[in-house]
Amino acid sequence: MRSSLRIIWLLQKEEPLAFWGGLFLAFLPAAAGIALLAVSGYFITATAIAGLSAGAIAFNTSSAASSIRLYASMRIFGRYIERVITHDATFRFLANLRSGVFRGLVARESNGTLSQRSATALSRVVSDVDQLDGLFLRLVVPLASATIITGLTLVILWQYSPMASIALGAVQAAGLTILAKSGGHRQKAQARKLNAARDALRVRVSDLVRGRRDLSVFGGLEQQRVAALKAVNQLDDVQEQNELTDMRNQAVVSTMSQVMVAVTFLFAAYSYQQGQMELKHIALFAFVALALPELLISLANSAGSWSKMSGAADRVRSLLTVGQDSEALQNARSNSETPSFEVGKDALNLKGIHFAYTPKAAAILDGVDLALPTGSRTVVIGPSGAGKSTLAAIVARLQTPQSGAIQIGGVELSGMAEDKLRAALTVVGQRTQIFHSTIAENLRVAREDATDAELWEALAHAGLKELVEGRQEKLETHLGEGGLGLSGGEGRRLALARAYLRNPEIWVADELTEGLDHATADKVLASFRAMTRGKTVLMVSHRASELEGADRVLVLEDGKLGEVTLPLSDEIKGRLRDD
Amino acid sequence: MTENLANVTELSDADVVEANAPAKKRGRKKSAGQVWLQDAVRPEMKLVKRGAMLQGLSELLWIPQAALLALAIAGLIDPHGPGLDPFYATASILILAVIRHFLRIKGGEIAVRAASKARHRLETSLLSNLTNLSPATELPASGKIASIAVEHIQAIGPYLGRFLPIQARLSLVPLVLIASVAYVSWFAALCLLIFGPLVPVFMAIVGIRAKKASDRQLGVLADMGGLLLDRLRGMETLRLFGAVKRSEDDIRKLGGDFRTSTMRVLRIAFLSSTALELFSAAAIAITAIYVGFSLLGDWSFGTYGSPLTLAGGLFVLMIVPEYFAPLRAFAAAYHDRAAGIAAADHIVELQKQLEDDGQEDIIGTGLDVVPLPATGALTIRNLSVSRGHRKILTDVNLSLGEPELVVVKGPSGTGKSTLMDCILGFLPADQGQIAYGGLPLTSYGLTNWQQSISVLSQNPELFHGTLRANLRRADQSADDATLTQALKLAAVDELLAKIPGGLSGQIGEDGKGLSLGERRRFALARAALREDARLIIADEPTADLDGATAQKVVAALKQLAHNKPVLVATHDPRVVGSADRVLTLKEGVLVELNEREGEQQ
Repeated sequence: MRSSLRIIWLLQKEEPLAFWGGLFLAFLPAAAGIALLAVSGYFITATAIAGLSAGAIAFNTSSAASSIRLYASMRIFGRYIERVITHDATFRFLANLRSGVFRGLVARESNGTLSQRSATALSRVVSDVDQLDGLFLRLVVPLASATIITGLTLVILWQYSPMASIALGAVQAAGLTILAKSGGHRQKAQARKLNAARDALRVRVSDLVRGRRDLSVFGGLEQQRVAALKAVNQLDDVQEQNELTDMRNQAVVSTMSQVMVAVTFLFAAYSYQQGQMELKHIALFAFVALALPELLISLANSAGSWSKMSGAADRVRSLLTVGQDSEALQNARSNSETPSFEVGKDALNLKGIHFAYTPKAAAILDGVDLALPTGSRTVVIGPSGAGKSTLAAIVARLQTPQSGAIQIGGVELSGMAEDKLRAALTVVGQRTQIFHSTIAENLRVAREDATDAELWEALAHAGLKELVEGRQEKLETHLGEGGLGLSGGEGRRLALARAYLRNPEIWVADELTEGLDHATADKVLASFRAMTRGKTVLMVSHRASELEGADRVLVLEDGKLGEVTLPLSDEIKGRLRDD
Repeated sequence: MTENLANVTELSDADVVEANAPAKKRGRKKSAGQVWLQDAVRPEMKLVKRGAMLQGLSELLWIPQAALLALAIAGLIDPHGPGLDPFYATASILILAVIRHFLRIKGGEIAVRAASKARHRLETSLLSNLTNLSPATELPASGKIASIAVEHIQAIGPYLGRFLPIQARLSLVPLVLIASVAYVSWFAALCLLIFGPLVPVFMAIVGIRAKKASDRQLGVLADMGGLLLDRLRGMETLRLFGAVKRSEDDIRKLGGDFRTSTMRVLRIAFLSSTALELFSAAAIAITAIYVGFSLLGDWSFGTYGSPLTLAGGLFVLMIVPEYFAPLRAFAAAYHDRAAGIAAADHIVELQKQLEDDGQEDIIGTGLDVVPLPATGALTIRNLSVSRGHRKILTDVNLSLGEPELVVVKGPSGTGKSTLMDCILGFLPADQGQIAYGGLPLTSYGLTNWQQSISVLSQNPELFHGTLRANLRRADQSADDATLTQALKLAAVDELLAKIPGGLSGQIGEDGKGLSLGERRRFALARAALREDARLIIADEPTADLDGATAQKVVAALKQLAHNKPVLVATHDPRVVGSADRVLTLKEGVLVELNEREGEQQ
């Protein structure tokens, strides 16, 4: 709940006009709806009394009729304007929230704590944000207008009959309490159970689908089906419970409204008989009691989603906090010195790096020292899983080592401003992300203000120029699903073209040719060598062809780096892929 | 389209789709999803109707409640007219309220349980379809199927449990309410009769406009979540190029575009609920004014002879809001229908795929199962196989019996994997026969045959669970020492040190936490554990492995080949070099090379 409140507060701060305006506008039509029924009831009774006394009491029919019209139109048009404004504000807010969540996720990844990197975890977060739309639309707006209008109505009715208005208030309060309870802890636990059951079924089914080959050979297809069926049963159970709770809530509120009408009437009648209330106000009370629960019904419809929203709010808020912390860290770093690269000095210097993925796991890097003189080319080889890619990630500040010191161009990495680091160093490697947008946009990820001529130059250097020229839309060709599919080698080249646009002093190549066939690998390597002439290069590899032209070869084994003499011994060569 | 709208709908209390619906209804053709959905929920329709009846009855009990209240109020105001004692009236209303509550809960429970039942049935049948399917069938991404099982089938619940009962009530409750009003005043009943049907008509008009607007905006309505996901997957790249800040701005800007275009649709769509408000407010106002002037004696029409009484007027006024309530509920629940149909479209699409591929008769479905001999030879005669309409294997002959390492080579795409799938019984043969110990595979039963082979697939699947549980899939009874030994054989025993907890340590789905090389070697250990395997099949076991690791894998395969035949599909020269026999798959035919030729290659 606290997280939800924080996010609501954030919304209020970002969009105060829409927030308060929307609340005010929501309040008007709801109140008009009640007034409409109340005035109608009052009008009928008053006319009846006037009719009975046969004109003895003059009754102003035109004023009552015109207020009926006023309330009717207020209800109709007020509701429309209110919905437009509150939805607009929500979309506005969600757009900001999404970018905040994005910042938080990036920051969490950079802390190395994004435990589940899988798409399911990411899509969970994405849907979390979408779920929060209801926070304002389905929680704040109806709750606030229900509370305010109930209060206001009670104050007004108090003048006619304190006792009847107390009865009215008590029943309404009971309704609100029941609804609040349904958004409470037990429901939250229920929502958590539902999520867990969903995740379980998701995992079981995708295991069943992806693993059906291995499962039918090693047996266990049946077991897997049974496990999935168990998850299905659990999910259906929880879901059924949820739906029953929702249904019962709505039934309770509806019954409550009938009780309210009856009780309010009884008290009003009693007040009249005691001489504490005028006759013509009796119908007023009955009709207010009839209209008031409408506010609760709209709340009851959304009560089921509160607990879901609350869970989503928890997750989103923690990400927002991480994002803010990271921004604070960035700001603190922003005044760092600019790295300078002079020949004869180290462009990159690592001392005593220790790294393990979790505190319990064995150390991947256990005291690594590495110095890269400016302009040198160094290759690190080692068996798979030895931590070569981790080393590359640490140098690029994608991972933070538990201990050790890193200097880039004479500046401590930990305190270096993000933009200065990214201008000085870049990584090209197997994990090239191609975004679902045009080639130009994919390249401008590296430099936003690059001209088309510069993009072409980068493509030419990466050996992609012919491919792109052959497309009708040239630089505007779409990549990714439904667009141009790039092969592994072409993707790697795109990464090279990006890096070329950056033109950093230090190039880190992480398994640059992994997964490419021999001929393609050679072409990619040739492009890479041409681009990095005269620069400081660190390559991480297990392919013999990548070693060519290296000044130094190091072996990463058992968490330590060891120098290898050149030319390579047969023993080392044997460890490498020879194609 | 439907999906996009469904997303919008979540935000708009069902407005877009609700507005959209009558437009859809007018279309002559029903979507495949709609047809399927009607079929799928048919077994539960009886229950749904019963639930709807109880709930409808509960709603109709408002008529006596309103009458009681109206009489009681009138009795107080005009002691000479018809009236009721306030206390008795209140007590009766409360008793009726309890009955209504009971009926409503009972009806709701029936509907919810029916929905649950339908959901369960659909999920179970999807699961058994998936298990019965040949593993060689090409299926959509596992994530997509999982989301069908988890989200889409779930979406049918509210459609059945909420929307259908409301729809059923809609045809009865308003009519009875009008009849009760007509008992008091035909004029008031006429008003309701005119205003009621106007609501859906206006909604339809608005719905057509809204649909047009949303069609135009389809490009911009592109899934916001999709963009965020795309950027998130590439966050490492974005960080490396210092483009995080810019991406944040992009995301914000796209959110803004999304807002503008969605609001354009919603501004029209909201008109539909405005129409509902308009008519219900107008009906209340007209009724109030009519009753008021009748009571004043200014108007005297609309009743049957005697003038309208106060009790009658109050009664009519109390029925009017209730008359529009089912319409309101219908509009609110319309989202459930749209979501249900959208989900059904997804399910139908998947089912079509399952049926297309699933109907093929796969070898080994014979009923009389012969026990598998402990040893024997695998013989393939004149095997020809096609996938889709393309012939992959035309005439393959092969005999495997002795312990040896046999390599099938050939460039990728020539059908090496298809051949493996046939031996495993995943794919049916067009012609020819695969036999073991002289009998066709069919005679042993598919499952028995498959479970007597060990396989190392190209992309080995490891399952959520401990290392031990994953290994024991091959041999339920293996003890820790045997497991460790197998890991050593596959040169992957360093995992025991790397993964916290050793054999009891957890690995995630897709072998999360293991590199590809480690996963491959781990799967090799699993394959080695099946000691009674008649045959070991390995598909590209060294792809993407470094030299040292590849050597270890080859050595392990070589060692396994001392005991039983090992069939390897590969184009890696390191494996070909240590093979006892090399076969080349070329244009659908398997050609055996003698040793000298093999070396030259």
